[in-house]
Amino acid sequence: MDTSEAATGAPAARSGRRFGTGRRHRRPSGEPPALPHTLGRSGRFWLALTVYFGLTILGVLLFNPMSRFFESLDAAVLQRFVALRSPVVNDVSLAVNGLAALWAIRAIRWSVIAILVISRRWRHLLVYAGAVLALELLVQQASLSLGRARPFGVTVLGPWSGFSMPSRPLAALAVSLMGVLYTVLPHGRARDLGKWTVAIVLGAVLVARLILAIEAPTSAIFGAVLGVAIGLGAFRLFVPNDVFPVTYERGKAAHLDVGGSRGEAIRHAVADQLGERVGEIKPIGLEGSGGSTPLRLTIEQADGSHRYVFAKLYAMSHVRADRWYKLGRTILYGALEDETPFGSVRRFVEYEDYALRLLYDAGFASPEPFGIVEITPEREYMILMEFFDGAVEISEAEVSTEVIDEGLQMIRRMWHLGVAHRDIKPANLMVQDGHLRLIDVFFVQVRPSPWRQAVDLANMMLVLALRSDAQTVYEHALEDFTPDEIAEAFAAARGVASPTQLRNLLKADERDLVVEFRALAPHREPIRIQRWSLRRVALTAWVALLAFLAFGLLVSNWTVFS
Amino acid sequence: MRRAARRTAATLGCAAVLLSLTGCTTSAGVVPDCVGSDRLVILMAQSVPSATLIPCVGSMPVGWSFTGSSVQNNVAKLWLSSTVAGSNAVEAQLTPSCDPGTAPEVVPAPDEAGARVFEAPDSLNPFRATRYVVFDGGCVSYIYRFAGGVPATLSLQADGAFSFVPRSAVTAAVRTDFDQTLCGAGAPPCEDPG
Repeated sequence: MDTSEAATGAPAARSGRRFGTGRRHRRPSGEPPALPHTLGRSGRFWLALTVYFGLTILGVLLFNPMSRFFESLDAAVLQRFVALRSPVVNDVSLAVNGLAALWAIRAIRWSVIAILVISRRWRHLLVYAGAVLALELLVQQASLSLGRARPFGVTVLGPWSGFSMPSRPLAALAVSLMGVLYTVLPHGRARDLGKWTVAIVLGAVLVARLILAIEAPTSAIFGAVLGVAIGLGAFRLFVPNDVFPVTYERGKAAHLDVGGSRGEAIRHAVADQLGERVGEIKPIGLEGSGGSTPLRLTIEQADGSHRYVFAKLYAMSHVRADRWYKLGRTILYGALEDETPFGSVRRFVEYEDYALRLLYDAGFASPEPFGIVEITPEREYMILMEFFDGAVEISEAEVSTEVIDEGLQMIRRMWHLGVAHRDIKPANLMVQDGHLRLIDVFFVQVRPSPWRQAVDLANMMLVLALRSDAQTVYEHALEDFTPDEIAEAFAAARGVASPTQLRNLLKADERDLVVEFRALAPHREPIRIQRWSLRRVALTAWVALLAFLAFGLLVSNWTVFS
Repeated sequence: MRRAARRTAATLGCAAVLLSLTGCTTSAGVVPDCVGSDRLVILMAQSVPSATLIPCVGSMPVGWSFTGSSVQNNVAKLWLSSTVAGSNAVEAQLTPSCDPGTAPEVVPAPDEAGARVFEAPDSLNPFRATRYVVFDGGCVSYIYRFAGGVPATLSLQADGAFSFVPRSAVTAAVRTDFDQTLCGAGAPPCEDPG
């Protein structure tokens, strides 16, 4: 069994010049990171306003003289608006106030929901529904707790319902419009224009309600502030534009926008931390990657030439996605293997860097690791590695017997080393100058279960057979594996064991390669992949309970939407 | 382990908060006490400015509970539930006026002095009836919708829960507490340039 470097196709001369040898810069204490994570000026403003109202209300509740003071102040301000009344002004005010009517707010909400469903932005939809629900519950509770009546001393001309502080219609209108801004309108000119429109609409409705004396100025303003603050906070926190841009082009939600401020932050961070100058930042292979944003960085060198470096950008959203993915797998299949989630994005990239170094040091034809770059502490990191220039995905390359041998020997060497790749699929196997290259080592596991090692073999054989045939691959596999090992591999390779891309390509292929391989190998009963444990039962019950509670919450508050 | 425990605690906390909020989506818990300074009584007085009497909830008979209110311009509603008669078995509705139709007039209760009272029973099993209390500037309709098999006499218990606050008491409380004028019956004219 030949398992030498030459046999596995490891490049003899790897990346040439060492990477990251330029002058580096240590970020001094107090200096912000390349891409600071801030609420933004507007976010801080609305937060401060909300805190101000919160403290004022607390003061009013605790000290009766404050209540009298604010009532008098409110009444005086309201009188100025009431003084504007005339038959025409009243009619216009009633018409403008119609924008905060129940039917208008529901029309906005259902339109947003419809757009989000059609454009399949489920995360935006979830955050939107959550923000609306949270606001309605908060406003309801606040108004009952504060128990503020409608304005005194004036005739209320418009329709109203319930206590007045905070204004429920204004809060509902504000959060609904914030939803339009941050889930429907793409970032840029459209949203900027939208912000002005929302400001004008909210301002007009607020003034109309004051003229009609439906509520006091502080009640109206507090309602609008709450709606804007909760909407803004929810969308900036859970669907930040940098991570989840509103776009009407098809693409994966996992991919971060690398233009604008993030692009600059990447350049800045690579220069500071690795001493290299980045030119073009180009997203590549997005269709094959769901867990990170893969990039090709053009490194500009001092002599005017350039070279490419491969990079993967990770954010907290990827850690959360990994967490959900592992949770789903545990519920659906039990603990097939280690499903412990990562605690932070830093651990995430550190692990991938470790896996890269492990395989590279062991002589695998995997990329040379160039290190980690911190974009925003604990929130965003980028891992850099060698770029296989001119390499093509195996599904588009000519697969020679040499490539077949390299692929099979890779698996044999992994077995020998005691690791499993766990994501063997066409997107992770490249062919460069007639040799096989292995990329994306994030899922690599040390000391995997025998089941997982067997699955790696089956997946590799299936990938190779997609571009050749089962008979050839089987015959070459016999040079590195026993017939029983191959039989075990195809007894293990079922359902979730194969990556989605590989399953889809197998489905699209006219041949049933799995059946062909099973026919070639000795018979072996399929290996059951369902693993039952107390933890799985408890976890499933817990998730079912939470889903039930969420459903109950939605149903009991359905009037918010319907 | 500590992280997992924190996460579990946070999830449980959130679920508890959300559930507690869910149970409060109506104005349950805010009972209109029979005093002029009660916030809900003031709001009801604003909903029907002409009303000289404002309904309120006094002592609650055993087995009955206040389940909520809905106050809008021109109408205010209060609901009582009973362990026997069912959920929202009695609804008290304050409106500027009402039409008792052909309902016979009955003798008013002591706290309804000065008002005219009409009763219109629709059915005895299940008990369905409406009781109209008509007074200056307003009307309170008590709508009984009992579960089947519940005796009509239980309505007497429910009647005991409701009472009235004179508008003048509410106006005085608003003047004292907020230094403001409550528009409507018995108050000086409100400023209304429109």
